[in-house]
Amino acid sequence: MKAKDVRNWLGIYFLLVTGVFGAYLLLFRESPLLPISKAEAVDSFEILIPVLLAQVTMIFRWFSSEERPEDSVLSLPRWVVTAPPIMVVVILLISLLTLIFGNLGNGRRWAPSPDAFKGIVTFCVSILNASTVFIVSMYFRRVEPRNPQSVSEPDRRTTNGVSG
Amino acid sequence: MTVLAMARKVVITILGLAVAAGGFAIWQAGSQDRGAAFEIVLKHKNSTNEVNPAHNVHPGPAEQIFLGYTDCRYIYECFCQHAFSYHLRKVPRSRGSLITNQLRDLNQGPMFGCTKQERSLFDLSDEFRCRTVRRIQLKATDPAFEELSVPSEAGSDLTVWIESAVRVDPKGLPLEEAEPEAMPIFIEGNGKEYEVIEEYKPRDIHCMMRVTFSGKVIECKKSFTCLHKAQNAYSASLLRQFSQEPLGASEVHDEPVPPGEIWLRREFQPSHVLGAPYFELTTYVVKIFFADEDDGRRSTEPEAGLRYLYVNTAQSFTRSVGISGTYTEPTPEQMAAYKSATKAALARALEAACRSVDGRMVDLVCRL
Repeated sequence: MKAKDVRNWLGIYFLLVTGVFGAYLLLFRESPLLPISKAEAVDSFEILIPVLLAQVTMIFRWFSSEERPEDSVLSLPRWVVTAPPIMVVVILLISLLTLIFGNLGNGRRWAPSPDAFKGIVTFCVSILNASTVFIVSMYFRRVEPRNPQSVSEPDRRTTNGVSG
Repeated sequence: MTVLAMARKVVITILGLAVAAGGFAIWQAGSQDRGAAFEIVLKHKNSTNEVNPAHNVHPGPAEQIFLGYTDCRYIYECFCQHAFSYHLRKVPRSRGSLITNQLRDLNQGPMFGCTKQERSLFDLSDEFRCRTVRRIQLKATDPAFEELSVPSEAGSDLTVWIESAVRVDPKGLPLEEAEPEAMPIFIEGNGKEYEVIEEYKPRDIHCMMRVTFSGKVIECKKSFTCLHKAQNAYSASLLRQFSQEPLGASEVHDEPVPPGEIWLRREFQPSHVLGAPYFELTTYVVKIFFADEDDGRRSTEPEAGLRYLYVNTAQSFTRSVGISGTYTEPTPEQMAAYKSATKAALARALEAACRSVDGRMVDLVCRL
């Protein structure tokens, strides 16, 4: 995958996931589409959304900066970039579907409890923290504007004896 | 002296005595602060020059006063959450006299703030309640001050202005003396004056068991044996109505149920009253007993001399969002929805039972 493709893919992914899941948790809480109480929906929102928003912020800060490094092909397998985010979406969708269908009609005993749903959301956030967050921080690292002070920083540290 | 003239004298004498007795009664009633059940004030007359009972009959305060929120049992936040508390704030003399003047006007005027409370089984008859302001004398050690602390500088003899609720008929005529629960407004004592400040702070507690309906449902004029027949019909009808939607509860058989009671339960099933995604865990306790209005006797079995069948329905209700969620106490709105659904089921059960025993519904009571 080219760096440009990775950035576009991750950018669109995080924007969509943040918007869709954030709105879903806020709009459909305590309804048949999200049968958990308002307090539990807010808990899930507070677990999931800050992490996603941090990624969105990094991505948009990068796209909005004046200086962006040229595209280059990094030696990363495709699955390293795409597998964790896709897995997270699949897990969240499956848990939502079991929550919805498990509570239809007279309800099913296998329907996950709100606590279990919060556990799944926490698990998804952990997966992203352990994988994709590193990819995002690598591809969307902020490019510092060129100025004499920042260039001379390593030299000053060397002269102070910090580095060696 | 002719017979006619003599009769005229007798009538005049009787009228004079009646007026004097009335005047004395009014003076007596006015001089007492407490204990007078009704006080007739003749100065308020309507345009047709007739005494309007709604304007002129003044119910007196109850014998024993409990200071607190008026009509507390009708308000969920008060009855269940103990949301209202009171404390005193000292007021300067000028403001105090202004307040007492206004209270004195309210004390002499007609009742005010009349409201309609839904109470009946069928929602056809309502209970009407009005408010009065009265001045009473209380000792600082009176149990009425249990939840209102009065500063010691106010002395031991206190004058308390209270607002009470009175049950009235649809025309505003008081049906009984004022309720003992009275809201304190203003307190005077030892030359000091205090206004009562009400604080609204609902606590996070709810009613575990709430009475949905309590009252007379069946009257047997013929013989007490007909009550037995009516009880059987009513019990069967209750079970049928409670098992149908929206309540959908089934009779409890796995626990020992006291005599004269029917227990019904709906466990971890969808709530038809609240709709998806709510599930409920509800227990209804229906107590059926026989009583006589005159001597107050009660029994769970029909006996000679008992002519009425009473029902008292209480329910505990918890609900969850989703079947596997936490079952917690409902909000006041959700509780109100259940209350009205239960009342409707009770009404349908009574109507069906009354039909089945060839009774007729009169004033919301099945008469046999």
